[in-house]
Amino acid sequence: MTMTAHRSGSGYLNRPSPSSLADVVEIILDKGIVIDAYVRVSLVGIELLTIDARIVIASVDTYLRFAEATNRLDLSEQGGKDLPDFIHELQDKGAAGKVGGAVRGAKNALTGGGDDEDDEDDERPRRTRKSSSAPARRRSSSR
Amino acid sequence: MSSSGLGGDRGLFVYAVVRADHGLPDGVTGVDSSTLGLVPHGELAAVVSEVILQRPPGRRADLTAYSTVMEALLAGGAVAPILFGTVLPDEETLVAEVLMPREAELDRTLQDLEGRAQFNLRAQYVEEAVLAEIVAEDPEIQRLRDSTRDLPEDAAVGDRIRLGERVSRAWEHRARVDADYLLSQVLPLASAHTVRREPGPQAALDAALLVEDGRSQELQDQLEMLAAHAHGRLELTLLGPLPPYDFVGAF
Repeated sequence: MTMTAHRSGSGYLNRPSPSSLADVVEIILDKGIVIDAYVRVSLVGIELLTIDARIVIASVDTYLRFAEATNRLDLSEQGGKDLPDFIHELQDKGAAGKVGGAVRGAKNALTGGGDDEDDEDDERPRRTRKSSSAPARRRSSSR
Repeated sequence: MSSSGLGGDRGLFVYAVVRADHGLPDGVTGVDSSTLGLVPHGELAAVVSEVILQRPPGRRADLTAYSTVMEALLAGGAVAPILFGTVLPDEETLVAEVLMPREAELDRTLQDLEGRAQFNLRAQYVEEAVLAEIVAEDPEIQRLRDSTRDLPEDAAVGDRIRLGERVSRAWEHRARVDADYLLSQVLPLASAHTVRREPGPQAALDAALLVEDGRSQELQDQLEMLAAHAHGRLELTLLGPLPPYDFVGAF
């Protein structure tokens, strides 16, 4: 991406470069000028790719809601799964397969975490994300 | 593009519509590392690259390639993004079915976008801070919380649901108020805006702003100030300048 991360003034405004896949997906998905279907030809896998991307976004949303529900029900500090746990479970279920990496990306985007694990087909150099307040990553032990 | 009639196994991946005199960015390739080309029509041109139709299924790299092309184009002037994944059979179809019949509206769109870029603004809650506010401001929530917090999880389900509902309502109300306030502070600096997601506990605001190049610094300064104010309660994130993905979808 061509833009540079840039901080000015007080520095409280986050100015990340949208380098994670989840950021890119969220920015471009379903956006742009639509050309009539009868004119287009289909490219193998593109439909699938956008469906996958939608699933990633939807899953993260859903798990966020669960996480919130948990917090709403239990305001004291006991029990409850936090978002990273939910995301790990999602990955462990393997439903994700190739979208797993994107879920990680989505989690990074959402939590500002710095645990970059990129998958193989993204060869572009990455910029480091700001990882100031990211909690230490916990591996879920349940399998 | 040199070849006009593409073979049946090839198509044109279409990225965007730009002005005919919009140069192509140096050193930027399209999906599958393809070479970018322009298909002109009058004062418009479509940015395309050849793609083999029976290629390995779509990969994440396609999304980033598309996004990289778009950002590089933005640096050279107005760009109207075409939906990701749009492939046409050949140049003739592109001109006859898209550029020619939609010339006037595409021209108007590029005019509106000239000298402007998109910024995505997100305001996300610091959960604990907002929950603490909500609890502090509502005696009924305090009461319900006190009466349920030390009970086992399966006890007092009714009270728990009432508590959750009340917290949720309070939060949603707060989100709408915060969203209105934030928008009122930034909209004077924007030419247009769209709300990408309705205000809620996840994010008070998730909006796209179309901003004149000359005002983007002002926008950042304004948001820096707001972010400093909201610190500890709302985290503000600004992405951009981005291609105006959210401001061409009306067609």
